[in-house]
Amino acid sequence: MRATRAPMALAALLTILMAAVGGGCVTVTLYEPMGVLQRPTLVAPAASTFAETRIQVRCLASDDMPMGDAEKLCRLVSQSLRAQGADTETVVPRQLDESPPAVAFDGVGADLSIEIESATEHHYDYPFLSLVSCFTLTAIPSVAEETYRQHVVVRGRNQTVLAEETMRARFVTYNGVFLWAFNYVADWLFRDDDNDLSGDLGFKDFSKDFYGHVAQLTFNARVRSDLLGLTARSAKPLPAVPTTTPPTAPTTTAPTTTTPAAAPAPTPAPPATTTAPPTTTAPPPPPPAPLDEPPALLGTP
Amino acid sequence: MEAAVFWFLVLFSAADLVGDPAQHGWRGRQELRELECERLSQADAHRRRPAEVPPTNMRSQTQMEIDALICQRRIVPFGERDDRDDVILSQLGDEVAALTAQAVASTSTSTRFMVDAFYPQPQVAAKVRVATLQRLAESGRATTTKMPLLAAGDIEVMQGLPLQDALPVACARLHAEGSMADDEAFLAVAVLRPQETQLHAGLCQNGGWRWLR
Repeated sequence: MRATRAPMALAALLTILMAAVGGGCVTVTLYEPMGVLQRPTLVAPAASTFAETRIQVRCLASDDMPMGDAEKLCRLVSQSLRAQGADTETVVPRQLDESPPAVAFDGVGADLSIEIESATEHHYDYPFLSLVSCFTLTAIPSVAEETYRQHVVVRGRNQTVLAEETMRARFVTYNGVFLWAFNYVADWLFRDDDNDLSGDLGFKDFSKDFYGHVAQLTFNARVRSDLLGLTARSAKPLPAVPTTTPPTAPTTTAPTTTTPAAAPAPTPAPPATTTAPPTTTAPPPPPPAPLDEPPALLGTP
Repeated sequence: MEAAVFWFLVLFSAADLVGDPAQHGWRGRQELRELECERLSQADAHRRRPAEVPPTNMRSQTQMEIDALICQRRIVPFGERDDRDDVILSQLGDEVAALTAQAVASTSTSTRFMVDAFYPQPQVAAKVRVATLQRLAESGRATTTKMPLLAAGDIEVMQGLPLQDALPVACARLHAEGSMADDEAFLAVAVLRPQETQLHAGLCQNGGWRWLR
């Protein structure tokens, strides 16, 4: 009797293992922000950030972004902006060249239009490694990497481009039972909370970065819209901040004049990486409103 | 023999993983933020790193698309300088290029530019000003480090105004007091809100002020 139970127990164990592996339960995903997503954001999520601002969110469907996913992305971005006081409307055009509706918000028109175009820029899954991983029941992990791109454009009332950025994020996903277990123990024993890798923390980090940068871009566009006189009169202007710097302070340096012909050899522009004197680090802004779902392009982790 | 070939293919397949910057991520999530990565076509990557990336091969390019991921560690780690300074300096080249292009397009070729930057950190303001002057010079425009001067009374009045209101008033006063010649233009580069991460530019010429961006 015992002899017949052992193979059955082994088979059951293997089935559970296969289900866990197939279901993605033993994956570790590393999120690598690229370019803009690496930069900090300054807009603290507050209910008044976009108060009385009408924002239309357009998510463009494409081969990489099916209609359903585009709608989901639009809904989540809209939800994020509404949490910050904006009045939002979402549009998912069926074609890239489909023009926006002439009048949004029941004929009043949007103060800002956010256009999001998503694409998978790179995908590779190491086929031989995947094969070996399959044969070894993921004792040797399989690896897949993907790079996503989101091009975000914010337009004003007259369709002027006020701000635009291209955000890129790379995800490297390892699928292996031993690697997953080792990583779980490493999280528990060695890594602090900010550095844990288990679960869907990579996707959550991306969500935080993405929505944070969309809010920052929208805020920048809103300030520019106010400055250029594009914001509707009904919208409440953003509070101005008095400056402590006089508009034109007398200078003590001797004035020099250069003409293009006599211009000195150009000195290198101050690069982004120039070491600045250490400054007191401002306290980090509070985390954005929690969004349980990652952007639609990534699917469910 | 078959097994040997199989394992060779596996190792060949996994070889890329050894140099993958994602390996730094095993130290923790924050570690990957310290890497600045860029995905380039093989041709561009070879142009930049000829020793590390081989030139393109026409035959292999037709069979698959080959690209390269180039990463380098940030010279100034996160948290060592103010967040806004970090963002402004990270994109300074692009921002200055955009605003100077608009300034150049809005003025005649004989215009001589004076530039000042309004930013809370004097060190960053100086970098912004120098970068703008340099870009204007590269565009073939005359520049001067001379600054237009206002009377002390004007400055006192304007100190109480928000910057975006003070600059147009200052422009009018500079013209009224004759501090700027007709062929001179004053280009002001400023950050107007504590939460924004972009540079605005306004142009003062012949007593008229307008925001360019």
